[in-house]
Amino acid sequence: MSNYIRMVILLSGGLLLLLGWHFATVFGYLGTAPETRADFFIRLGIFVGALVVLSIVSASVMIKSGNEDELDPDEREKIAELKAERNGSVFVMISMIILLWFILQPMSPMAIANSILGIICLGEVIKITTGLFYLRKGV
Amino acid sequence: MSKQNTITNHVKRFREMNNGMSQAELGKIVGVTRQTIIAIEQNRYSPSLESAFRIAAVFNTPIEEIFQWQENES
Repeated sequence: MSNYIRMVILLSGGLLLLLGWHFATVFGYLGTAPETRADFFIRLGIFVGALVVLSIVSASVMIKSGNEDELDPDEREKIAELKAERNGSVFVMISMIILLWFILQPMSPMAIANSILGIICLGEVIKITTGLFYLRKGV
Repeated sequence: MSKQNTITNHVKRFREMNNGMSQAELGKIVGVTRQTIIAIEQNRYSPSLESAFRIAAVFNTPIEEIFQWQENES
């Protein structure tokens, strides 16, 4: 496994952990969910900030260990990533179209925001799993 | 009836003939990862023309001696 793939898995794993924690609070398993739009966007901002910090730290570790050459994807990884991204995007697009119909139903803005976040989260899961599948089985 | 094109190669044989060059060494010269060289050798990935020419240049051999193309009908 190249360092680039390790970094992608680390960042995606970090994102999924954060979103997993968020949904645990939304469904009442852990702590309290954000109740106002301001709270929601503050949490979203913290997530983005955490991901930026995580990517800087992981890239710094790779550079310090002298493996900075492997931080760029090679041609096979680029193709696998492109195909995986296409799968994730198709899922997100179809889910958004389905969600548009649900918007016609009485739904709170927070429920819609969480649904969009959930769709992005599932799209990311599909992207990672299909990407690893392509790398393992061939592109 | 569909046609499936298959590219086979002798990269592993040429690598072993070349003083047992490692996959990592070949990958570094060609500009791909060791995993990509493994995938090429196992016919799980067909390299780009650029990489195929680079591999041929490393072994100082015409490209058609390393890579073969067959048209399979299935």
